[in-house]
Parts: sequence; structure tokens; C-alpha cells
Amino acid sequence: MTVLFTLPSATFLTAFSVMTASVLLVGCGSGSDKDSATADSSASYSLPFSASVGAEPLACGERTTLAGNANEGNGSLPQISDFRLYISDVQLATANGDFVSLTLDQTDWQYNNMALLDFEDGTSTCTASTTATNRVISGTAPAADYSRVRFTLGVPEELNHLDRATALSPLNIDGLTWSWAGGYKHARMDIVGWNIHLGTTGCTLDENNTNLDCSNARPNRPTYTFASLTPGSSTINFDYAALVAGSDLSSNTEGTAIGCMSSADDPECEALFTRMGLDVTTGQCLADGCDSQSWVTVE
Amino acid sequence: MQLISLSVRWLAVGCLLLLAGCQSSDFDLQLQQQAEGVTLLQLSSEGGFVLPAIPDENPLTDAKITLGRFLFYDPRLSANQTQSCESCHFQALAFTDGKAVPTGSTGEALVRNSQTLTNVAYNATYTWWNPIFTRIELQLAMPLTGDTPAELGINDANLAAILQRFRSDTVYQALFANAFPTATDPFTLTNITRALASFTRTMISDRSPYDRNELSDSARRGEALFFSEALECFHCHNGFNFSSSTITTNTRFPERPFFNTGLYNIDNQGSYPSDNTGKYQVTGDWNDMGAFRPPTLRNIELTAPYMHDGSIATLAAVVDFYAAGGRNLTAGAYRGDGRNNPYKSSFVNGFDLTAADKTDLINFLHSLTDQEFISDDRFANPFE
Repeated sequence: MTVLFTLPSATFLTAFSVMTASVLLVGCGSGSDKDSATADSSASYSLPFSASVGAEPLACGERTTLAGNANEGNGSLPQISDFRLYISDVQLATANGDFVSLTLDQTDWQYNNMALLDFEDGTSTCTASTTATNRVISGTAPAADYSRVRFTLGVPEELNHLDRATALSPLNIDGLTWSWAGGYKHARMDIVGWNIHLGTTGCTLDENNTNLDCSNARPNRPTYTFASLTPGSSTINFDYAALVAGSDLSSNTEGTAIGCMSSADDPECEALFTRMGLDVTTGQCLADGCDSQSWVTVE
Repeated sequence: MQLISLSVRWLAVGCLLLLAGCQSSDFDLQLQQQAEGVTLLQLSSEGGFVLPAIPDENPLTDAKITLGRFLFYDPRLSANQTQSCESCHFQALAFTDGKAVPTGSTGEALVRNSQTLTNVAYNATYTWWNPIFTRIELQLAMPLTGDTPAELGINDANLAAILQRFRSDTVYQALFANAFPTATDPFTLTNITRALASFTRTMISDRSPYDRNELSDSARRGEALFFSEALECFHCHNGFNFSSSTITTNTRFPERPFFNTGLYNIDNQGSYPSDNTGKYQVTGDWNDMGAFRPPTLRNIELTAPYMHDGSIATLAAVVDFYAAGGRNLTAGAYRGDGRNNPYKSSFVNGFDLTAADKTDLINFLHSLTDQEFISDDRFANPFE
């Protein structure tokens, strides 16, 4: 699967096979080092994503790969019941150039600078969710030979508090709203009996007791940078097993949310947050950066 | 002193409304109708309330109120068709359920007591614990689509089928069309939310003996105790709705208070049970540990058991609790002396009450019971 491919225009996107596209990627670079983007020539780019439990592709229902550290460290078999993530502020860079924004195509999956990735298809143990899936983000950027990508996991602050009655797709999906915290679930990664809901917490009302104020909130929006994209062969993968490597998926601290719902007080959250590169107390990147994360890789 | 002046002011509003023609009529037959074009939201002359705030996004109409009333009582609104809003909000109990905590339609236990819907249109915030639910429409997402725990159990997978139940019902076809006449497809969860919010906004209780100024001598003595600096009740339960968490259409500087009353102090550091920490659960601010919204005391006689978790069975026991200045649990997982909770409101200091005083105070609280509210046909089950 092509990871990062360039096409002369968006209308070509559906007309060409993946193979053709990867050929085109080479063609677009004109065989030369094109490190700096030029403003007057934009091109279409697509970023494929995948999700896995270890080496096994993630899908609804029980996986055959053990995850977590239950059963004396051997882990347990997760029954995937949801796996959806909002991605925002996608940026691309050439090997030595500055990052430029990928202007996302405006579709049912993409609104403003934000997109929804949906790895569950409503089957098996995912029956509370939707049938549609989405594993790719598409947009335009100045034409260049990009090999690095940066994105933020989560709904951006300026879109996180829309009125759910009028919000457009993909911000109008009930299962991804997070009413009690006044926003969305940045990521919802549930298995039967153990849920992970990542979202901004700590929003309250402003000094006039009128509008939502998240200035002191825990944003819980990690930004990840990847420098090793191999055009024509790479996909960005979310590995559930790596995320829960330090978690016992068969138990939960009594009196806390089942799994982790982003509470700084929930003992189940700390191990997960560390693997996401986040400080569970502040909701900011860990001291050594969000790229200290250990669950998202370029493959 | 401030409370008393407020009290006089809203009584004065009531007097002005009396000029509209109360002299010649019975109390319940001469309700004032003030919201433009709306007949189903009614305020009594004697209660003297001003209108609640109605959000611009959801103007009140009789058609929406009527639709909301049907939906409120219809179990088809829950995914498995076993529960309606009424399942936890019985009119006879001022729209509570008499349980410590309810169980959702799929069998999951909730952790907080079903709140009264008495005068819910005036709440400054909704639910016991959440400071950011400033409109009913925001709160309704919890019972409708909440999944931890599920109440009515609506989700992305079953929503279309649930909407279809109403779309294919001739009664609802007319109700939705009337309520949302310009919508191409009015059968949406947003419109259900708007209708339910509109209906519950009409649940105004302002026809109690207290509103009629028909207090017994004992209740009058109890009223004086309630408003005394010795008991301090009124600091959190003030104004026409006996809750400082109240706003009206005239409110420009809203207060949305939460208080820790010393119900728990598990670790002597102020902790409440970890699944039920109040406003803290949203803000993560320790100053909000155990802080819950002060509910209205109207119809309090009908809404036992009490407190956010239903952990006090009777009104008499609640008075004892406040007289003690909190609760000292000496056994069990939650043991600890709530009286010493460091986050406890400074108004919960305890007081001495004679048996006669206690009777008087409870009689006063009983004077807030509105029999007309709990038998008002406007709020009753339309399917019966």
C-alpha cells in the first residue's frame, strides 16, 4: 500500500490504482531533490492508516493475539468493540524542509483541518457503532517529495465544543461525543469490558459562569511526528497491543471508570498515557515529548 | 438579609400579577400565561415566578411541548423498549423514583439519585455533579445516548431503528410535523431532545401551600428557622425556587454553585467515593471534591431518599444530618468523619434543634409540596 503519494490533481485520485500512484510519486519529484515546496503548484496527497493488535490486523470481535499483562504477564484476548480516532492538523515535510499543512479535502470524514479514522465496521462485538469505515486522510499541499509527517491525535480546541445539534460530519456522531466533558472523545478504543476514551478533561465555565472555558483543561491531544516514511510502502499504524502493554485488561480499580476515561485519578490511565506520550496529570506531552510514545509507528 | 429582600421582591411581582384578575377566581384556575404564543407553560399568580430562560436555539411552542410529553412517557424511546423517561421520573413523586439510585434500561446501575424535575427550567446547571450542563438540551445527552452507564441506551447503531418507530407511527407523524413544521425530516435525535427539553420546561411547581400563603403556625415557625442565621439553610436553598442554583429570564450574572455538605470524608483528606466525587469529576480541582448542586426544596417531601446518592432515607434524617454538621461514618468502605471534610461548605456547621423545632422545620418543608403539580394533567401520561 502506498503511504504517501502525489497526483497532479484530486480528480485523478480515483482514476489511478495504488500502483500507478506510487509511480506518479516518483514522477512528481522530477528525479531531483525537491526540498522546498513551491506555492503555485499544489498536489493531492493521501495518508493511509491501519490499526493492529500486535502483528494481527485490528478488527471487531475477539483477536487471536494476546494483549495487556493479565494472566501473569501473558495477556488476554481482546474483543474489539470500537476503534475510532480523530486526527487533526496534518503536516508534511520533505527530508530537510519545513512542515507545511495538508489542506484536507472536505468530505463526510473530513471537516476543516480534522478527520475521523474509523477502524470498526459495526460487526461482531462492535454492534453499538457504525458500519462505515475510513482508513485514509486526503488533502492538498504544495507539491514536493514529502517524507515526514506530523499530526495531532484529537479534535482541535476550536472544534471541540460545537453544538452537537448543528455540528457537521464527522463531528455529529453520538458515540464520539463526550457530553459530560463538553467535547468529543478524541479517540475511542474499546474492548469488551475495558474501554479507552481519550478526550480533553477539566473544561469548566468561565469567570462569568456562562461559556465553556478550557484554558486550564488537560488537553490530552498528543502530536506525533514521523520522519521515516518510505514512499510506496509505508502506512501509519496504531497498535492496540503496544498501547495496553502495561495494562491488565482483565481488571479495573473499583470505583473508577472501566478501563480509562482520561481521569488523572484513574490508576488505569497512567500506563496508557505514558505509552501515548502524555502526562496523565497535565494532559500535555511528557517531559521527553509526545514522540516518546510507543504505539504509533510507520510500517 | 439579602435573601429576605429577594423574597419580598418576588412576592411583589406576584402582587402585580394579581392585578390581572385573581380576585374573582380560584387559585388553580387563574394561571398566568406569559410566554408568547405558548399556552402550556403556565405560571401561577400566587407563585409570582418570572419566566425561565428559554434558549434561542429551542424556542418554546405548544407543539414541541406536546410532542415532548408523548416522548417522555414512551418506552419506544429506549433501545430495548423497556424504559421511558418516566421510568425514573414519576409524576406522583414530583418526577423522582423513590429509589436510592436507579437502574438503566440495559441493567446497568447508575450512581446518582434520580433528581426531581420540579422547576427544572430554572436550574442554573443540570445533574447533581456536572458544572457545564447549563441547558436541559445538554443534559439530555446523558439519559438518551450515555453509554457509561447506559440509561435509555440509544447509540449510533440503533438510532435509525429507534427514529423509525416514531416515523412510522401516525400519531407521531402529526406530532413531529406540528412541532417542526419546516423540517424536511423532523425525526431526528436533536428534535427529540428539543421536544423533551420543551416539555420538561413546563413542569413548574408554584401552587403549594407556601405559595398560597397557607402555612400552619408550626410551618411558620419552621420558616423562621429555615431563614435563620442559626440554621443557615437558605444560603444554599434560597430564592423562589429554594435553590441558589437558579436562573430566570432576567438573570444577567448567573451563579452556578456546588457545595460539599460533609457527607463523606473517606481518607480524612476530604475524599468522596471515587465513582461519585461531584464537580471534581469534571474539573479535577480538589476544591470541588464532593461538591454537588443544591437541588430545589420544592416538593422535597415527595422525593426521598435524599442526597446525590440517595444515602439518607428520610427528611427527618436529613435535618439531623445538617444539625450534626455532616455525617460520621464509623464503619464500611466509606468510613470517615464527613463533619471534618476540609472542602465542606462553611454554612454546614451544625445547629441545635429541639424536637418541636425539628417538627416545625419539617412542616415548613412540607408546605412546599404542590399537590396540583403532581396531579396536573398537562404533565400526565398521555397514553393513559
